[in-house]
Amino acid sequence: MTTILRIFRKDLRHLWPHAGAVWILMALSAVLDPTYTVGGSLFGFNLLAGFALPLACWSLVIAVIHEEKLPGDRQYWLTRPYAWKQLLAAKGLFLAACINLPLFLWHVCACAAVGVPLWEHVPALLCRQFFFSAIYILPVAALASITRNLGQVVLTFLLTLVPLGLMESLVFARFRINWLGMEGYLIGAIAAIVVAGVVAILAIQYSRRATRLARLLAGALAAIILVVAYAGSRLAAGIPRGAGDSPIHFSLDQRAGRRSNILPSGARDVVTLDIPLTVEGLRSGVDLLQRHISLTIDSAGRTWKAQGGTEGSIHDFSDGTAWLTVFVPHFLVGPLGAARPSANVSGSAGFMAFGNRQLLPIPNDHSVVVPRIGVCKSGRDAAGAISLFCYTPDPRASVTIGTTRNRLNWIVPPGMVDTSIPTSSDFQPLMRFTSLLSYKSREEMGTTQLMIAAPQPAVEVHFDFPDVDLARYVVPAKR
Amino acid sequence: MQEALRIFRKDVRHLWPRLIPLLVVAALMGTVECVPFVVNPLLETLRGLWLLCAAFLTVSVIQQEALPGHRQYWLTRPFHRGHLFLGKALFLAAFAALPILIVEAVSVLVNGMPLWRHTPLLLVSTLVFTGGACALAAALASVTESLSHFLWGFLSSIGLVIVGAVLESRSGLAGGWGGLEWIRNLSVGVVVVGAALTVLLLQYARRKTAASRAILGAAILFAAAAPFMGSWHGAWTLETRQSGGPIDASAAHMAFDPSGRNVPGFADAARSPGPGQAGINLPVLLAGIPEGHQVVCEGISARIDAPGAVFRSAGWTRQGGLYRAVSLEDPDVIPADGPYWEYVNVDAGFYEAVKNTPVHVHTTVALTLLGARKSVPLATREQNSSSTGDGKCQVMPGFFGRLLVTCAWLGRAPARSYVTAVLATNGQRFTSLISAGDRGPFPLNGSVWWRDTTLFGPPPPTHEMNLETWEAVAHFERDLDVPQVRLADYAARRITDLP
Repeated sequence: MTTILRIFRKDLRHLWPHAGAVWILMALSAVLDPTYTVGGSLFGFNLLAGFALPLACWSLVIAVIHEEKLPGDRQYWLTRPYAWKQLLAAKGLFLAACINLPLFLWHVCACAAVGVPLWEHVPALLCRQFFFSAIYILPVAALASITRNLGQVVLTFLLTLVPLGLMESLVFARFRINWLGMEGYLIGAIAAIVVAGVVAILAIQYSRRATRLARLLAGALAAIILVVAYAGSRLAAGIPRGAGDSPIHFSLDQRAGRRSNILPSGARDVVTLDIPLTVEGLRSGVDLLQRHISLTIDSAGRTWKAQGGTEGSIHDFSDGTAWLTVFVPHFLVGPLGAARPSANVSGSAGFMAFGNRQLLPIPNDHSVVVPRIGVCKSGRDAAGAISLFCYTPDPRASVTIGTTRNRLNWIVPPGMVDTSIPTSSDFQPLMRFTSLLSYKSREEMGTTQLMIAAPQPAVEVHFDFPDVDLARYVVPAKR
Repeated sequence: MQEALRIFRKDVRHLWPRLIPLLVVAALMGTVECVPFVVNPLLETLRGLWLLCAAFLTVSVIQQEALPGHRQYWLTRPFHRGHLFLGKALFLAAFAALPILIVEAVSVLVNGMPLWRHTPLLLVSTLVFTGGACALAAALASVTESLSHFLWGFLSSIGLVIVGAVLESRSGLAGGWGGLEWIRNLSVGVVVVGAALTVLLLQYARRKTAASRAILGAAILFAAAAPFMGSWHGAWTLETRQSGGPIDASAAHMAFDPSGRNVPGFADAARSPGPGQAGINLPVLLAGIPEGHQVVCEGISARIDAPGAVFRSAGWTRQGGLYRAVSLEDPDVIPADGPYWEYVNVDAGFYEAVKNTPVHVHTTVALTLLGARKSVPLATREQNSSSTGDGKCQVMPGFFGRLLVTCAWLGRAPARSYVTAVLATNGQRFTSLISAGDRGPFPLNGSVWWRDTTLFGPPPPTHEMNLETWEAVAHFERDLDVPQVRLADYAARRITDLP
């Protein structure tokens, strides 16, 4: 341990200007972060946290590894009386002390400054440190360990990593949509592969200085990451979303008197159907929000399938009822009033489920601590209107203003709720969510409350409605 | 020259792997540049990447014979430092500037534009972009001993510039020069590149590293402080003189309109006050706009004298001026004589103190006269693209059933460009602003193309779309003096003031 500390102190003595630059840039980023500072500059922060700070961190990582260079045949340090494990541990200690620790302190201070309860969010902050290290620090450390100087690092970066990054952005962009719902697991898998691969590269280099083998391993690691990203995307596209069998059952609501409230599509060749449903098996207090739907309508020997999932929606769940709205081509229904044969409507829908509702007071003059979120406050925007906003390091619940779902003024919408591993890896510690609508005055807000709902296991429901008279459910063009 | 060529060949032999990324990125940029009427976000990424590769190559070639320090082997070699400098300049011209010149020339040719006519533009654009970037990187490389030192020097420099930008945004001056921003950018560029060239000459002639570092540091401090230097009105005066001076005093004159028109509501007003401010909408009558011309307001300065208090706007500001109360159109353009509004931002405390007291208001607005109107067919039923003199446009299906119109001009865009469509049935005219132009004499970002795009709601199919362009023909100022006015009668409404 003494040897490790000696190497650590020597590196600190040599590289304090570099480490100082990282700390200054980190402090500037912390002070200028527009998420929580008044008048914070987005432009300045983006330049700092998106360009200068990563560059400074990478330079520090490279500099500390290159203090005792590994490839080549002129390594003075091989004659020194310490083991490779001690050297590697000292480098790890340096990076943890000079990059991870200040970053963690920034995140803790930012959370404390806005009033986010730390004890509840420590796991998320630690997860962030893991993913930050896996994505920002370790790959650069591996690159530094297999190169002789900074020039080689930059050249390797430009010749291999930039093309890979461009390929990832351009080629895999079309697959990334499939990551929805599985993003956390895929990023987690990639981070785990990076950590394992980099540890292997560093172990090989520090123990045997087998640079060629380590370089081969680095190339293989890059290829494996691309394959995992690609295969994961393809795999995710094929996996049915949500749970298998659901206790929830939909059937046609035959009761008279339910009136549709939706507006027709407006397109000339599209007919809007609004079909009332009865819902059984849905626990009280649980809201369903549709994530995807597949739909088939068989009518008079013609089959129509929803192509993109945007042609249909099951919505407005209330007291055991719901609505199925479908935008179908005109030929399926025909002119209004014409006698049409009955149709079979079948398909399946996947839902996000939210439950365990909790009501909290609106933050008027004081902030309100919101479980699974962090803290919510109110304030005036540039136009003088009152908005509500919530700060969170990792949103684990949806937040709405209002006690019912009839008037939806989202602060943290359900789609933004993190249901997977918290995989954020960037420098910015907090997210800020602002209410969709603002208020003219405190009086206009009245006695409303914040409604918090926690995500429940996703639900997949299959449905089959035989003998449906579609014409009965057509929403007229003009009411 | 022989020695310079030898050094050039030696550098190529040593640094050829570092040429590969730069040339590949230049080729990719060329591929994107050849389709100028498609706004491709990849171009900005490639441009950033090109700058990174060019800086890396510049540092590498300069530090082949590093200038600072006392262990320079090359000082003993039989060549003059002038030849060394020439060899380095030749290397950068051949591998940084020439590829960019070639790809831009190819993009001009591929798009059917005459190369000979645009040769000066190509040369200036390439020289400004590649020359500026390489001169800065070379100057920093010439005062540092290694790539690592260069990197930390670059980080310190960029840190200072970022702090300047942040302080600017906090002071509310961000983007304050609008169409005149090019004058400030060009001035800063001239000073910084001039300092970089001085440093290079000083280093290669005398190896005075301390003095060179001081010059470069001062230039970087100047660049960081640039947002706070100079005056908008000074740049405006410069542009006014450059354009041939002010026009006749009787043209486009303004008077207060006492008729008691209703103050525009929040939705119709082009501007509204920010936090700590109150907005005043003064009704004005504008007359004397020459036939076939229109006017754009560029800025305003105001002084309000009240009993016991005086308000002066903080110099000239673009947060106010003449406008017309039309939603979804180009509100800053005044198309003809008639009643309009003049918006003035005042301090909220001052407004509250004097709002019901008669005050004396004096404003001066800076105006640009637009003329030389041209209209060319943009799209018909048969074709969806057109050539517009020094530019090209294309009409494509866009989001939400609208049309995406993209135009690219060589060098600079006209002062105002609109997409227009007139219905054949009733003559109804649809207009959408596509570009508010670029006032600079040449592009600073290395691309010879200036691109702009707009989404156009398509009218019924019986139409022909046109591109209407206007050029700036004169710049001038007009005063408005209102001796007695009650500000509360003309207060601008905020969204929260809605009933």
